[in-house]
Amino acid sequence: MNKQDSRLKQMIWVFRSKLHHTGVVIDNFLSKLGLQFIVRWPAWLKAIFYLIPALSLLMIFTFYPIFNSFLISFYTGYNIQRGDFDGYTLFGNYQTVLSHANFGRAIFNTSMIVLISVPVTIFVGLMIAVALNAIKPLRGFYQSIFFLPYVTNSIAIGLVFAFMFKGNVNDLTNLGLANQLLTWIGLKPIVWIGVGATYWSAMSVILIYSVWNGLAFKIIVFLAGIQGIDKQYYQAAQIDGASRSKSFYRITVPMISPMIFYILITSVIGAFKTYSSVVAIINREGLITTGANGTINLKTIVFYIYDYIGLASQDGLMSYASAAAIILFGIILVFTVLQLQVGKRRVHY
Amino acid sequence: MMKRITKEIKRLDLIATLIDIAYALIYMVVLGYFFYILVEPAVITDVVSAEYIFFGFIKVTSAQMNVMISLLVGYLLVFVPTAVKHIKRVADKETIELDPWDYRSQVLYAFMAFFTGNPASAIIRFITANKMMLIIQNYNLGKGFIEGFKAIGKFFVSLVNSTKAFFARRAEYKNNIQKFGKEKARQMKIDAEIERKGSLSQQDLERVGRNDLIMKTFGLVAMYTFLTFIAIFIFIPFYWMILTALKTHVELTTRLNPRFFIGLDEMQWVNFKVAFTRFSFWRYLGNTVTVGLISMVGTVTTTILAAFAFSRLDFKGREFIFSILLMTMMIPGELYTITNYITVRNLGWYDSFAALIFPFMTSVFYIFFLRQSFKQIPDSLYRAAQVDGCGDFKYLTRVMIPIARPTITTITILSAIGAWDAYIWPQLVAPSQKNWLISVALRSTSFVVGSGSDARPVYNIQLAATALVTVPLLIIFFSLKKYIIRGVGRSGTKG
Repeated sequence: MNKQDSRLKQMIWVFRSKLHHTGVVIDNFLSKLGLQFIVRWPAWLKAIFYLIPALSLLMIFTFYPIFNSFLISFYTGYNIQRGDFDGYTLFGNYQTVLSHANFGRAIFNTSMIVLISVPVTIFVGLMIAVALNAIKPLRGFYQSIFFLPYVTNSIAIGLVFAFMFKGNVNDLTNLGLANQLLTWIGLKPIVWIGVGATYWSAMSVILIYSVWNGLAFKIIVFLAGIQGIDKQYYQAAQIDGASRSKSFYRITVPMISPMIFYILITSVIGAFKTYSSVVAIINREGLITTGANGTINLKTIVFYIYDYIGLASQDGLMSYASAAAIILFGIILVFTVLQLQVGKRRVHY
Repeated sequence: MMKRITKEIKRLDLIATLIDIAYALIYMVVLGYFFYILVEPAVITDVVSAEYIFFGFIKVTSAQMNVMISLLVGYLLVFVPTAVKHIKRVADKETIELDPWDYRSQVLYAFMAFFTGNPASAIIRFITANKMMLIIQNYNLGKGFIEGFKAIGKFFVSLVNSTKAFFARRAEYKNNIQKFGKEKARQMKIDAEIERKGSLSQQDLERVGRNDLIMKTFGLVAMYTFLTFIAIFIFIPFYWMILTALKTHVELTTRLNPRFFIGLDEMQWVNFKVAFTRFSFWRYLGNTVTVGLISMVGTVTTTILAAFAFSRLDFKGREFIFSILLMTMMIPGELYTITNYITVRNLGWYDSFAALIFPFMTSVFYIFFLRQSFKQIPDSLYRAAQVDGCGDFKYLTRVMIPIARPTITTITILSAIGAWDAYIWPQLVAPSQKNWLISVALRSTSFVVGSGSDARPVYNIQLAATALVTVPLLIIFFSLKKYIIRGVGRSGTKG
């Protein structure tokens, strides 16, 4: 048994050494002819091999689309099934989109979400992270609870929010949770999102949901940042007699300013792309039809774009969608560049 | 007072845990059986009052059935996580320190096991607790309690004494005012204080220390209150979802104010069964898992290969290509959704899984994220591997992937969460019902009674379906909490 085993090993060894020898011979032969790159790949050839899967997918589904969407936005009467179009127009589609009343409304709705929910979320998130860092017992427990919104299906929880904010003045038999809380503190129930709602009541539900949904990520990132700060800074500040609030403004905030900055940029971009929360809370159309107040329009910019994609089979509408998407991109770009400019002066790396 | 856990205790713990798991499995089967025999109402708004007969002679009403199911669910909610925790602890190779808390929790588990009809596990846990007590010397439960009571007693005694002394001093001060006049009395008071507490500067120091302590306590109380409020704000949608899913339709439509708690016998578990069958949950789950798994495997593979090329291979234009990739992260996805929609239609993938999988087989953000952690692996390791005749691919699979495993796990989990959460793209390119993913199905299925303009939503069934969609992700989260939180935190700090 043992003998057989060793013989087998020997055979394998001989085979391997012969294989290696053949390899060396081939290598010598090729290098004589100056063809060694066939066997020993240079870095760029290897890189192509490693990058092909990712880059080819990115080519088809990211780079080409960006280029193509720019082109489409200059076509008139573009038909996606036949792939033909009537002609070109330089700013015609942009003009149509910008003069569209719905688009102005969409920009207004989106900027409300950006301007209110982003600062509130960042501020509250920072407060929570500081508080979490200050306590020791139960920290893990609180951390898990605060993280829950990150791992939920946004459509599912949006539906729950819609249910929590239901109820109206005429029909007191079925109050939602929010209205129940209002009656407890002595206020009248409000129609939040049902028939008879006002613009701001519906918007505030969307804002509350955005804050609820966005907190998790911010808290975790801020907490990771705060925990990375060297304790010596705080000790030094304490010796110098700095108060708690002072050491927060002078140490904590500057030290985690890169994270605040990163969160600011990503969440502004994210807030500009709000879509599924409106779908979940309001409906697929993004409209509330109320008898007296007419229709309340809560479409965001992305909503506006998807409305056109949904009607893709009609000629020319894809061009409007592209134009709107490029306008959105322009807005995001301007905001990001602005923030980067401010960040250069304010952020300490 | 800490000691290493011994092998014997580990073994006993393992046996008890295995018994617990066996019980949990049996109870799960029983729970499944209960759900199987639950009678569905003919109209989804009705409340069923049926009678179930077990073994031919035990008669159970619907309310009793609800209580039984609630108790079983509660049992599983408590015992499955603890069993998993115990198994993890036993399987852990590192030595475990033992402290009085382990002893206390062991006793608690023993009581819990005893009261849930699991005497075998209870006895073993009592024995384990005793063994632990032997190891943790100078400690037993009774003594701990007595010491605690003594400390509390001492505190009260000192409180009473100091209050008494305070009043005595005040009475004396008033007495002195009458006897010697105000000026002298005050001077005498200060003298007495100095005699009692030390010099004036020392008093100042003590006062500062005391104020500090009070401020600290106030701060802690404020912080915990704040955190608890936010935690309630975060948690209430989940609670409200489960609570509403367990209520009856009658209660939701006729009751004036919603109740915040309901009795065990009123929990309508049948709502979940109705949601399950009406919603055809399995099909959408199957769709989501298929799409999610394939795109996850694809994403991880392409990401690892690309991140390796960007972090280890030296070729011309590496930084240039990478910075172009990073720039695309800023462009809103809608810009490419438009053309991708056309591309997918032209490729004939419209309304098929291919359209859901291929566009998401790679991600610039994950490449960036993984490249960061690949870059932290020292270059000398790469050189050493090259000297040993290890090729690039072998180096990647044998060295880099094992080292960067936490990051790769995070990427895997995040992409799975992404698949579960996907809504916009799936509803655009796969609108027919057989291809619905779970979010699309949830938003598109309507649970209504009546028809036409008279249609009213049945909220309890809808929220039961919502809970069915939410719970699997929560289970994944709680079992992989460490990786998710750490990974997400790191993604922000490196970005």
